Amino acid sequence: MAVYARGYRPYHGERRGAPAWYVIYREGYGMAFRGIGFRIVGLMFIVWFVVWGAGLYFTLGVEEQAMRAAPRGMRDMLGAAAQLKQALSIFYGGVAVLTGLLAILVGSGLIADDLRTRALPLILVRPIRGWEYVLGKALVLPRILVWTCLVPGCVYYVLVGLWQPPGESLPWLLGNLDIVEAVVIHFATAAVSYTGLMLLLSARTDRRSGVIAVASAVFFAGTVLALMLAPLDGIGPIMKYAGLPENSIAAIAREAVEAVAPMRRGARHAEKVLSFIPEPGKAFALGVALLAAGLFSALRRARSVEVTE
Amino acid sequence: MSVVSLVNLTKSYGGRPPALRDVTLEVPPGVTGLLGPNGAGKSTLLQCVLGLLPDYDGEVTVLGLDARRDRQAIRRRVGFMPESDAYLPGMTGIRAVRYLGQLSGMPRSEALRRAHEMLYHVGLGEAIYRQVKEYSTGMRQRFKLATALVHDPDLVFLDEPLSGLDPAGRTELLELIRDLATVHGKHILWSSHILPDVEKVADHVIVLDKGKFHGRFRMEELLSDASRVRVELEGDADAFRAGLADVGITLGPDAVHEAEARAAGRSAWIAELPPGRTGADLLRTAHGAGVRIRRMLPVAENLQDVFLRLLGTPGSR
Repeated sequence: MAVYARGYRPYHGERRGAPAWYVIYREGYGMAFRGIGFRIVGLMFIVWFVVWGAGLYFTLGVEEQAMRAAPRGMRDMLGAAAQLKQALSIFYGGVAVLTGLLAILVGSGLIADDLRTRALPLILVRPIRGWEYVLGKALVLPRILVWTCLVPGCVYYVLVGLWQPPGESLPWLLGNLDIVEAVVIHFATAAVSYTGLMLLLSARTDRRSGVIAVASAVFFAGTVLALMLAPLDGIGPIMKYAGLPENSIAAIAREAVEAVAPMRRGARHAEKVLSFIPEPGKAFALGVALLAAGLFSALRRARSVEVTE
Repeated sequence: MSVVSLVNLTKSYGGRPPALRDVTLEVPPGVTGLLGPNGAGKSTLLQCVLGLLPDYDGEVTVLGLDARRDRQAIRRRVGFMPESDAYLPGMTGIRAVRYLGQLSGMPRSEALRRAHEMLYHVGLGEAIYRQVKEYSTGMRQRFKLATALVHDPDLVFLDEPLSGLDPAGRTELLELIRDLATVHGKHILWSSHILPDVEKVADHVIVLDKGKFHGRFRMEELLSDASRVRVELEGDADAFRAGLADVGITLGPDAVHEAEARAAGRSAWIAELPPGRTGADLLRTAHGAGVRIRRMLPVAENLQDVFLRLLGTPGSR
């Protein structure tokens, strides 16, 4: 056990510790796990992940039996890759609410908490630059989204690969990298969109409840608007980008539709459904724009303590 | 040599009148009190010096470094204890001080060791694992002092460091601050409007009012000013004042004792004696003017009296 000296002593030790942005990021990430809300939502997420994984396992078993007598074209559509795409689409669609909640719970306090407790003067008087403060804060949410957006898809992908007949695992894994690509796009879009929105809101007020209210409205009202208005002519092609969760899962949803919809309702129906789903490139660009706005807002806040005094 | 030097420092908030106007001053080594009433610009001055309010006009030099160009180097060598109630959300005392030590460039293990030392040093040894938000007001003051000292700065800015403390806590923290300056050679710029505290520790004081610099004084000189005499008169005060003016002595009203003197049928005055003049000149002039001096005392001033006098006569000295 360490024994600490009492009284003031000069410090002659090292002054080249970890970069400030890393210290802020690490502390922010550590603090995110301390909230009860985060723990509850995290637990729900884990349960959903395990249950869905088990369901996927049994579905693939049934599908394997059914496929034995099917023709080749049908086999492609019924195959493990198509099933996985379908499963991921439903999994991420269902988990989008939890991911949104996690993002709101963690992101709402990123800067607003420092404003509320007047911690900014304590932090900014250290030898750190504004961009280091913002970068540290901005990395917290993507790190959490790694667990909710990136890891589950990759784990399911590897598991389905491993569940293939002996000798077919590696070829299957290498032949279906488009699934990983879709999962990565999903993660990247969610990371930039959610981080951008939460930085933008969190840097503008010292009231966390206010941030939560506005962010919830943007997340969930945007989703409702996107779902309701996307089929309409005129505003539909624009309004389909109103929901951030829909934007983030666009790549996975498209993969799923392209994989199984033609078989079920025909190619024309699949095309129509695809027109309602945001295009992943545009959705990502929208997220980047949101991130730029959030970073700008946070940088302005980190430049001066004028507004807090 | 000065630890902080300001040349024509001006700072405005939006379209409002400047919080600081053309402030030019030098802060000497040791403990310096930065005095002024509420709204004088003390906190603004500290925040400009620390680079927390970057949009200002003028030049600021801290420990020989330019505040705009060498901001990071300055921040490695200064500590700041803000006036506002500040803490890090969701953190225990030890975690918060360790975190701020890391942000000052210390490795994690060193910062943790140092955080323990500082929290013990400021008297929070029993509460290091408690959430800072659960600390009392006095404990938070101590916590802020620990955050200001964790990286062993050369120059410490203290903004109202004793507010919210009980008398015992005040005395204890006062001792700590004095110890920092006298034993450990730290330079301290102490902003306060609680003057008795500053009087006990400071070597120099700087007076600000309404964003303007009113002067810098050595504490010893300020408090041993024997050139002011309190007099109570019976008779024609105007004739007495005219007589004193002839010998270069100024007579002004003594608002503090006026009512008491009037009750006794007298008038109360403060005489400012220029160098070379003494109480005998007052007696001689009184005799010549036909008035009787019933009471004559040197004005015993503390810092508060001096401060009020200075603000009452802007630009004096």
